[in-house]
Amino acid sequence: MMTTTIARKRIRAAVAGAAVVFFVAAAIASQSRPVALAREWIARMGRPLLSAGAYVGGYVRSAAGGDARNEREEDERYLSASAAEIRTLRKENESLRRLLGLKEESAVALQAANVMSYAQIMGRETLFIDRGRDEGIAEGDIVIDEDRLLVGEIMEALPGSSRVSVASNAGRAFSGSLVPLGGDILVKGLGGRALALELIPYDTPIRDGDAVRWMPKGQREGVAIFAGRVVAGTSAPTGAFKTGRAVLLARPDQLERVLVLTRP
Amino acid sequence: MPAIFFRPTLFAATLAACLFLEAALAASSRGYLPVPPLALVAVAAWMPAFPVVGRLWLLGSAGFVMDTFGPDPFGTRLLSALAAALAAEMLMRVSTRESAAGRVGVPAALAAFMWLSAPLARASAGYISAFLL
Repeated sequence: MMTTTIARKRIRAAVAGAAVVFFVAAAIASQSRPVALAREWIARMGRPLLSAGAYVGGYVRSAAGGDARNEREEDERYLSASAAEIRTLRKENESLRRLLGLKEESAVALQAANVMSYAQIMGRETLFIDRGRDEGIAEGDIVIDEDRLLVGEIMEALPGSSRVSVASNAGRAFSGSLVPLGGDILVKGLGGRALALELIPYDTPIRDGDAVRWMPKGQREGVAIFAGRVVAGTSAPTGAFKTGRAVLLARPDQLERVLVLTRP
Repeated sequence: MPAIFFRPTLFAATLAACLFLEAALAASSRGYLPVPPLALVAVAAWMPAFPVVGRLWLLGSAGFVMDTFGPDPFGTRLLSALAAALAAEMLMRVSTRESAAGRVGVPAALAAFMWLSAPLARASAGYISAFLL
């Protein structure tokens, strides 16, 4: 009797130990093919559930009278992006722009991907897309939508899929410039689609409605990708710099397809 | 359905319902308002219902699912769920589960533990991966 009890305890301890070893190994080898396949499978299985949740949430929003406001916001978003693009185009010489644009765009490889799932927890948004390392996608690659609006950055590239961290997530930062008046700035994610604009030179004018353009280091011109729209002018200048606030132009929750700018 | 599968099935259904609710809340707020981690709270609430062996397997699986959809690097929720599963054993021994305070207090403490241990778990996952891979 005593021996049986001890044997059972040992079996339980072994099964518990196996669980710990199994899951710790899964966490360590999270980018290995078997774990990546399991994650991809879970994402595919969970997609109908999350889509149903998003549908119900959308229905509740429209029932609460948000449709008209949403349409207005959507128009505003589209107009902001279009106006910013027109200003940028005007600024540059048309023929040179075309030549440079062709040259720049041919240097950037675009990879189209389908969005498998979207999740938002405590203001941090993540997308799961169906293209990964096998297609040449690497961590740090930039993700844009079909309107050339910045969505985010690849935070994890798995063999057949990738996870995207949305640009406005807390802890994300990138260099940008203001359109139309120019000026290099630092853009930081605050969560909940909000962006903090920092290191704006004291003499750079900033107005509500101005656009924030994504501008990687060393790139002065080329592919125009817009990230946000200034919503809160500027706070009182402190020292040599001013600060401001912007909102993300892209709508990660409504995306079905995205484009990944892979590095050649 | 055999009795042994009843609670795990209910646990999986609760996790699915929480993921559904999180998606619905995110869609209704259009991403502008933070959605609370309902799945994490549900997982913490279910912890005292299982023996330690079942808890480790079930919560490890739940951590795997939460990490797949969550915003943290993979392994964060998984490791914090495993740590919480072990911590639950100690908490349940010191608490009086029969009282209302014990029933609510243990899951609440575990949810807080999982939430607060996430940065540590994230760093641990990163260090272990860096050393071993």
